[in-house]
Amino acid sequence: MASGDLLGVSVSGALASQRALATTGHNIANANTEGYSRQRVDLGTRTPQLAGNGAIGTGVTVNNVERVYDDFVAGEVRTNTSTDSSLRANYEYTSQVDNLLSDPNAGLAPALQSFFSAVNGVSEDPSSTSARQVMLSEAQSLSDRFQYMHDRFDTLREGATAEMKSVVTDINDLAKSIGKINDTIINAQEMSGQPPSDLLDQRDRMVQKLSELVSVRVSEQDDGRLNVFIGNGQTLVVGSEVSEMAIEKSRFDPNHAEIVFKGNASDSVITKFISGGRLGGILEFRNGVLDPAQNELGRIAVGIAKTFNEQHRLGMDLESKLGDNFFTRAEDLAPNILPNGRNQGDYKISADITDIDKLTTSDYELSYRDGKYRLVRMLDDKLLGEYDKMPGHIESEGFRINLEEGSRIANGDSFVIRPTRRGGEVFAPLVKNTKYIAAASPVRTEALVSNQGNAEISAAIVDDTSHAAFSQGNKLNPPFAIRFVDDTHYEILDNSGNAIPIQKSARPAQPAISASEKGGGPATPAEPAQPPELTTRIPYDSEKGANVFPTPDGQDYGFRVRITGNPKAGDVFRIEFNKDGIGDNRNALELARLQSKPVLDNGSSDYSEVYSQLVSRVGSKTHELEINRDAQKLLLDQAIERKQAVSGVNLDEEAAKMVQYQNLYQANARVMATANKLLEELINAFR
Amino acid sequence: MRISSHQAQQTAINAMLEQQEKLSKVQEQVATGRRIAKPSDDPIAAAKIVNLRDVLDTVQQYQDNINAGRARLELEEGVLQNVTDILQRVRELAVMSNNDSQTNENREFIAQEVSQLQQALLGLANSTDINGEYMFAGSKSKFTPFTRNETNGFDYDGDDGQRQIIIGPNRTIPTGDPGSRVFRNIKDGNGDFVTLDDPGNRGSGVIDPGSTTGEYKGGTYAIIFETRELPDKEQEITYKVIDGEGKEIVPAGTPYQEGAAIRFAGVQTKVEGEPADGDFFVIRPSMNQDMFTTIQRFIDALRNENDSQAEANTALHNEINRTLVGMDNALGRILDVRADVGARLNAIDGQQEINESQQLQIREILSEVEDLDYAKAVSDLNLKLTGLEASQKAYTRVQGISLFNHI
Repeated sequence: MASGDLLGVSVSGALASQRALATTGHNIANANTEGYSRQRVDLGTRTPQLAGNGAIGTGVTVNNVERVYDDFVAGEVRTNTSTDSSLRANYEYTSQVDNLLSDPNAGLAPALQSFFSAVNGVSEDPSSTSARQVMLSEAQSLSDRFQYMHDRFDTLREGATAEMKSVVTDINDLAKSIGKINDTIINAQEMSGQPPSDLLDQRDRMVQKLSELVSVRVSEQDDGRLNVFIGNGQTLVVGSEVSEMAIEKSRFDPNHAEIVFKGNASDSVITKFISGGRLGGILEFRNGVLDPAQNELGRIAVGIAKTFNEQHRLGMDLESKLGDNFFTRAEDLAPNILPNGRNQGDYKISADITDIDKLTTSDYELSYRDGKYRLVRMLDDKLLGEYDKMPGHIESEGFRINLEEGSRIANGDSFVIRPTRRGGEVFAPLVKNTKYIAAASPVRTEALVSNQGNAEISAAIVDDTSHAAFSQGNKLNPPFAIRFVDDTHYEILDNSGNAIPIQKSARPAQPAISASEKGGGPATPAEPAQPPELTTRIPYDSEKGANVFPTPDGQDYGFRVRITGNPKAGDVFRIEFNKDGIGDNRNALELARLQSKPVLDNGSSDYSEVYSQLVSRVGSKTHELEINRDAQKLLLDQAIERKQAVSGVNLDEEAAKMVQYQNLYQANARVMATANKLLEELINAFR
Repeated sequence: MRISSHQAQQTAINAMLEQQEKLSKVQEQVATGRRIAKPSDDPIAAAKIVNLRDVLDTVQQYQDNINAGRARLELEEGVLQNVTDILQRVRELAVMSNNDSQTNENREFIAQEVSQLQQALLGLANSTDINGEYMFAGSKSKFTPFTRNETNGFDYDGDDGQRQIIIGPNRTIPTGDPGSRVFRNIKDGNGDFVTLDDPGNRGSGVIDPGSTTGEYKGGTYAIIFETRELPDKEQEITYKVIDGEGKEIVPAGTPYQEGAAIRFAGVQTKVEGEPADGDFFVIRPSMNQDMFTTIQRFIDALRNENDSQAEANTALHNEINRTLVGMDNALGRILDVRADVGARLNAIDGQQEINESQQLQIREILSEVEDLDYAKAVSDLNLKLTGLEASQKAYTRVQGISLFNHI
């Protein structure tokens, strides 16, 4: 055995332990480096020297510096990161809505309450200008509050769009970097024949960053290049080829941002397919929280405006004129129609709200494709109707779509209908002068002072001022008088004293006496049907009283009046316009009652209940997101822990390794010294 | 399992941060005394709070309405009290003047007082509330309801409108009465019919307001007196009653007896004194008459200047009879209205109590839902503090250990 061999062996050991110590040092140095995977030297024996007496060992060699890494665990971290940052982004935005709705100063509930307090104030004191002024100011505050909340929603939408833009820019940058590092990795690998661990870690970190922004899928090519897919399979990175994404204005609505994938052949809108990451979280917030909340706010505004207007128009103002719309007119509350900017046909459609208690918070899409018109509720993509040809109008959930004009529609044309989105924005009081608050009811009933009987006439309940009876401004057309011709009959006189004929009821006033009551005699045969006979003498039953209007044969003049008690022949009751009845508060009472009248949600909720449902819905959503976020955080932490368990640096372990390799080095040095000594002995032997 | 040193550090720091976040939440709760800062803290409770607040505000609105309504009703009650006093005084004066010994001068004094009372009554009927609105004008509250016209009659420019307020869920109550009901629509006579003397009567016959025996159908009748000189120098007074068509329903020649009941067609009355030949009295159905006119008639009768004092006296007695029932009817009406006002005041008092107890209940529920349980919160706070301290101690102990210390 040659001492030269021994020297060679010991040198290989010393070099190998140096390499191992260096790697340990590298690990210690990068112990806190994000995304660093610890490295390990893989030692192997050198090729033995074959001799007659066997294979003689020639020392140690470093096979490889290995990167300790588990693809599966890394993938798990990526998926969990995407979900985590999606929930986080959604929570951040949703909690802003949550705070906005609950703010005792900014929420709708206090403004609504103050407004109705003011309406009550007017009902207490209908002719007081100051009470009326308070009502007008509170109406303005209510409208300001709607406006403010609507604007805040818009601001949130703008903020979301701005962040979407910057996120997409980051995605594009990361995609470019990944494409570039793919190339660098290939080159390094070709040069060394070994996978470049630190570069792989860098790429891995980029993909990790990317999955914070949006959910991606990755697959590694055989040559070590990494491909990245987004949406429903769009290739963001293939090798070193990189595609771009962009935020563009929706073809329906310039304020609505869509995510566009700029592929080689054509651009495609992929908003629907994006999930995960901040981008997915923002989109989820926009579709699941912001749009429904803003639509709900609009729905409340539309509901208040429409019902309040209807009641206000049944009233009479201080100038003895019929009330006008108090809030925004129905035409101005009409749903938004957004035609697709790329529509080829010339169809124009409009829409109006028909039934506020059936309105939902969704938007709708009407599209024409392959010979069929389809109406889809966008919130849950439910098909509401399918038509072979466009009907004149389509009635749907509380609104009606009308075909305005146009004869040609092209395949793929579409319209988005937003029934209530703008409600909060357009809601405004139209009455600006205290005189025009219609607190009174426009019909007065009175018994003449000369009446002999004790019969009483009820106050009139007005339910339709669009009837021709109200067409003449401040008088009834015609005013009526009820005159009793005897104690049990009355006639209805118009202003020229003519009695109004009504149809005699087809059935006898008293029900036919049944056979048994008659004592077994034959039942009275029913009178044969006859053409309606007209009469001006209308029977009156003093025990039950009578509904004078609408008349027994159904003539309805837009108001309801009853007479009860015992009239005497010649008694007269007058029904006329309530001119100068400015102390009357009947309509103000009805207006005040609207506060707790269930007019929304199929007649199950009043205004403030709908608002509290919105508060609780957003609150629940925020709460749910908070819980999910915390749970997801735990899952993510566990995944990171698993990844770190494999790839992370443990300093104690490295310390031990360091001692181990140091000892190895020292031992090899000792062997070297021994070899030296051996050589020395040999030289001295010949001296 | 291997532990990554970096991860171990991170985990320990995260644990501390988490403890701090929880601590700050409890701290905020303790500081504000509220369990829920934003709806997501407890969405169900948050929605409940919005609803409860809404109910509370609505009940408060009822309470405000009640207070305003009570003020109006009490004001009305005060006015009606004064009206009662005036009517009673007029009635006293009517009784006082119903005496032949009164001189014309005395009667003029009475007439003056009655006239002033009438003026005061008119003032009360035209009372305004604190907002300057007429209380008894119905809905036409800016119009003076009662005014004297050129013919010394009284016009009513109000209407029959009655203001209502909401005092509870589905409960409204009127806070006033139209002047037509209070002052105007009061039946004259005894409520069924009125007995009128002909202004041309020359005898001393005074007719009683009478009463109905229940079958009065509302016709108009005349009781016509005839006198015949009897041979024994005694006068015989007879009467007949004819109906509106001139048909005799009590035959001519029916002997008249002073103070004896005269009955026909559901009418029962009597005549006192000695009617002259051809004197007659008319019975007609009662009609609505305002109280000012009733009093005006009394004043006119007091000032009646007739050449014959006897005839004037007789006319005055007849008028006073009518005034007395008129005042009784008016007082009866005011009593009815006051009873209504009292009942309404009772009703709103009752409703106010109901509302108050409802407010109390809601406040209790609200406090349960919304307010913080301090005992629980403080013990929570201590727990969280201990947790944080523990994790800080653990961190310093664990992080100090390293193999490198021993190399």
